[in-house]
Amino acid sequence: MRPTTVCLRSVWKGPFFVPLPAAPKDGSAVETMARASTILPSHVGRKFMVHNGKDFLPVLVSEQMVNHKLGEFAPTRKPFTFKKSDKKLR
Amino acid sequence: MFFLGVNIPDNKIVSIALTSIHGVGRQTGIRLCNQLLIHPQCRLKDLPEDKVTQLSTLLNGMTIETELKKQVADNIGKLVQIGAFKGLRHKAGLPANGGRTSTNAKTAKRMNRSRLSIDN
Repeated sequence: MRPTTVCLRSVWKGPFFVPLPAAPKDGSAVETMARASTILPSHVGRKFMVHNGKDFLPVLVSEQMVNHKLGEFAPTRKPFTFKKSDKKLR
Repeated sequence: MFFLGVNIPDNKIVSIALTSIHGVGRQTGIRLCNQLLIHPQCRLKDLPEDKVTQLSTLLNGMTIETELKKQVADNIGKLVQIGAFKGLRHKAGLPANGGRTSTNAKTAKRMNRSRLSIDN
């Protein structure tokens, strides 16, 4: 069984990332719309606010998140909930 | 014949009998037989003892059975723990690779949640 290959970009090209602004001194979150940028090892421990189309969701980068993209941690759809309607059947 | 797992298909051809081990498929079975110079039509019950021990040592070196299931469960558990989208889909028991959910998601609804643990 092959492990799940998430990355589709060829290795020789290097990871795709967007030059993000330098970390603010007080450790507050940085707002970003670059969902496709790879999380680099230098980002570990920083807080980002990732756009999901409407709001900005907080993401605290941990060491295990390194080779994923920022957008994976900001879901774009509301989870489906089944609501029973109270209409009486005639 | 009892192998490392619980492989007991004696009457079958060796390369096919090996596929009953979780983690060994058609190609790996054929490759193992070629490596040990086992005749392609040889049945498992007709294998000499030294070939059986050689097979066991080869199989011990690969990740199969519970080791493999643990590896898969760990990979998925990592996705759940870091909060990635794929992890959320596994927790909800829905397709994790972009399949539609309005109709059809039978395999995912049946299997995706149980991939988190080894006993499935």
